[in-house]
Amino acid sequence: MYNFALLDESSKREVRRALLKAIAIPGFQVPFASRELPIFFGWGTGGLQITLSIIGPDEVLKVFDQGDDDSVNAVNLKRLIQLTTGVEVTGRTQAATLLQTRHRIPEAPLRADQVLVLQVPMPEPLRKVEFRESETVRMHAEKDYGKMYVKLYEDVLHHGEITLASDYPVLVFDRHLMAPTPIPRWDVPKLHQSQHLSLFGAGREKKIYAIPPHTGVEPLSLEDHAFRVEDFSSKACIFCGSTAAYLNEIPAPQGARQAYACSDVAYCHAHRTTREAAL
Amino acid sequence: MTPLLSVRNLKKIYGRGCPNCLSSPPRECQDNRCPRCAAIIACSDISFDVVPGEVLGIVGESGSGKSTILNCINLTLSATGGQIFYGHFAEGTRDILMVDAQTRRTLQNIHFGIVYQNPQLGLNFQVSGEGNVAERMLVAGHTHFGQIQTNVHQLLQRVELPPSRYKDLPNAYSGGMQQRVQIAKALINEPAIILLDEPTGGLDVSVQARILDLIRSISREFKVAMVMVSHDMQVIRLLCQRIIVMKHGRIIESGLTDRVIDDPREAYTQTLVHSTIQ
Repeated sequence: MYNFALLDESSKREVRRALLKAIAIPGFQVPFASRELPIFFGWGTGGLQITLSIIGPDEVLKVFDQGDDDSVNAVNLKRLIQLTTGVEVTGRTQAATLLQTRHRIPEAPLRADQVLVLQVPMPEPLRKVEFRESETVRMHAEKDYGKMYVKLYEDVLHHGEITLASDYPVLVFDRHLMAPTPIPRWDVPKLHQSQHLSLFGAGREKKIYAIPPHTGVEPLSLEDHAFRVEDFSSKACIFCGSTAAYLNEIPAPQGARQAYACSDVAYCHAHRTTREAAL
Repeated sequence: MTPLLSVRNLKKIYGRGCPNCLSSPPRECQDNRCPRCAAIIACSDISFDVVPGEVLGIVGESGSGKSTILNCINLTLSATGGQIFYGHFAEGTRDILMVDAQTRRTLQNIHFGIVYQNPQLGLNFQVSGEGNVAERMLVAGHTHFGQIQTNVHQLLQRVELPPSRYKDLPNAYSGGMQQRVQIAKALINEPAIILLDEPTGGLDVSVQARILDLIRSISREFKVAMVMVSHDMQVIRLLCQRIIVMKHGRIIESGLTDRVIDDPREAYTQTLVHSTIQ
């Protein structure tokens, strides 16, 4: 009924070609012929096309959305991929060989044999400061990132600190400015000199880019206003008690003022299991 | 003295051009337009030197190619032909018109400073006046906010921008203040040369006088060379040691300012000098 992994072979080849180029030039946005898919643009079509193009029958797949394996978006993508490939699906980060994610990177460090695919809504980091595509292309070509640095300068000038929250711009391999997708700042250091390969796909914007393993990824910053991750000191997950993970504020139970829970559900489960085993 | 900037046979043609107008000097051309192919010869056979610390004036009527020369030196326009050598780049041995895009950007950002008549071209209206000046230090590789701000404030004070206005957006500034910010922006990386394209055009006379005064004192204090384009002979006489007179894209007369103004040789220069309202 379907070709293996839904896409026809020439479409997959197109995506793989773009991937090879993207890996060869870390952080550079490679245009590609984004296909129509049975999901809407904006629901992860870029990531999905990469996943469908590189997946093999022996792969173990994990799809998660903001750290959650059971969100509607993640479940639907997972079902589609499983239906058309028959691969094994898992929730455990360590067990997966191919991971597709939206807006988070797993808390557990990834290994060299794992590939992380990120869904990208807005691949152009310079769009915040320059709306013309022709200009941003030129700026990347000439490594002319002055406008982005001025954005940081203006932030400090008017607010006393850098106000970029998620999708924090990073300089990859000391050459290309890159949007790491709307992951929290917490996850940005995980891309620096990583063991695993990260692939980024933007379906609507028709761009693919990549960070190969062992590549330098530096968040843009000013010397006296260094890059900082979110501060969760004196907070812990109410389910697993972790103090070393990215936390979401959740509706507080009766009587409590605030409550936090791990954003990475798989990490939370694993942490709770090991803690209960130790008790 | 070794020149800081040498322009050799610079040529800029708008349009395809033909053997007739691409030849040096262009044949059969009475004015800016090639009679064969109708291409516009914005400038042709332009050669001159600028020595360190000198202020060179370029005068001529509108459309005579003055601004084209500045934009070719600043590498914002790509020249059709000729060579430009700059003393602080590869010891003046490499033609800066032939460099790659990334080097060109470095030259523009760090080595040259330009002040346009129209502040829309020189300033980023989305960021504060202070941010505009800081941008040049940031692209030159400075990343320490405190140090950058100290330097920027010092220079903005020097160009007499009121401190209460540093954080304002450029569209909240008066024309004179916009020019002051542009001048600070051009000077912040202490370039050896700055290019001024009618910096006082469109300003009222009293503001014009104060800006000119500022430019004059800066050229002495910073010992920076300047190439200044103007059609106002009074401005040129006040600031420049040497001038070049242009007509139809070609240099028709050049020499010391006093000589050219007091004893103009070409008919066009005579008209230009005598058409000033006294």
